[in-house]
Amino acid sequence: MSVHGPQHEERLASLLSGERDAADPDCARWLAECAPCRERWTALRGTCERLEQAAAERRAHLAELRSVKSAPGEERIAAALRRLAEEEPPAQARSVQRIDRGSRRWLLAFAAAAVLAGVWIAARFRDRAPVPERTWLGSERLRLIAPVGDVHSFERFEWSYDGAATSYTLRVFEARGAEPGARLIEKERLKETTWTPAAEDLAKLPRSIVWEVEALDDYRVVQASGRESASLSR
Amino acid sequence: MAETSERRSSPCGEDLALVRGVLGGDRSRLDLLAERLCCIPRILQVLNLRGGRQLGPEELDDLAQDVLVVAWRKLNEYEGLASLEGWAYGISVLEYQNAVRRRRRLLQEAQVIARRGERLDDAAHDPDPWAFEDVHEGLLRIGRDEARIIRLKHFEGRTFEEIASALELSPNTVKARYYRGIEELRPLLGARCGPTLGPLLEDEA
Repeated sequence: MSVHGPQHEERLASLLSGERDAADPDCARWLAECAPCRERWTALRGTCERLEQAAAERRAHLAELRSVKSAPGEERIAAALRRLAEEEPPAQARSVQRIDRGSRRWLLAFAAAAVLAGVWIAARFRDRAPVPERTWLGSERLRLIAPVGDVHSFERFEWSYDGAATSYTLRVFEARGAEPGARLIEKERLKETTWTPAAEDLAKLPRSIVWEVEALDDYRVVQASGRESASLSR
Repeated sequence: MAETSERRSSPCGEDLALVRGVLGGDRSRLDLLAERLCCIPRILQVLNLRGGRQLGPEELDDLAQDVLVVAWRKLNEYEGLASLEGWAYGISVLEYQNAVRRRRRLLQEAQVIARRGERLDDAAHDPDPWAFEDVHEGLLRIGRDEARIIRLKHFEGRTFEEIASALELSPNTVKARYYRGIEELRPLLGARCGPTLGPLLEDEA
């Protein structure tokens, strides 16, 4: 009976890469004698077999493409790509740096901590603290339509987003110049791209406001955000 | 020399040149890229046919636009290691899965309302359109370098030597990362890939 150790790990690696053959008598004996190696080899082969099945499916799908003459949405691809190239220039796309998954996990953990900290701070300073300078995400896809600039009323808030958002968060602030002051209204989990304030909401609003919208995905991660200001015309 | 290095690191050099041209602002190549990315709606159509037509034509149309946006934003990540169609396939599969999930959730919510909260037991009748969802999602969850090597090995059918040459690594490094990647992937694929192999091992032993 052999003892499972680092050498066995190397052997498993070489078996997996094909440098060794499991049918080789020496390998067969080793696998017969070392139960952990035997179990691992079974599992590793299972994983590879599953990958091969997935690869076969992928190949079959790609081969099937040749027989597809047209598909829904195909006629819009060229125009959509031209629009994307204009609205979201490649240089902007390039500026998104690649991050390896290890770093991404840290970033996600950091982002989660930052969100929690943000929630705590917001709870403490609700209605009081001025909102700090923000970086707007995907604002080229999220457009705040109304109210913007001088308007007759704040009776309808409207925006558009051409991405896939599950919900929106709308916040309305008292305006301090062009910057937001105290938060007056916050509406979360809005499903539509419009919001009509109730009478009591309208009563809270001063003559000049700053409002912002965040588009969120299934996991409540902000996909895009934007901000506008509006004033009631005299 | 630079050309040699370029050729070595990108098995699909023409596709990479096309992408780099577009990223560099060459609008004249945009139409050619659009022509190639017409594979996106076609891939979605194939996936939908294989998956039991879970999405209607309008949903597929919308989804194609969504996938195009994702592909455009990821274009700078394209390394020329697979054809543009193979690369777009990876994105399309995941987006299609998400769309099907979203649709199912909406349907379930609607059914719950219709049945006034009756418990649903649709899963038993629901065909499994995504037998390999765990593989594609698992590859997103393991180390990026390891996943890349596994994809090249299994999806692109490349040898370790070819992968080493493409990634400018030693074959031993590639093999070590492949082993590590398979080890990382193994628990993520769970029970779907173990039990059938017992007899194989017994034969070998």
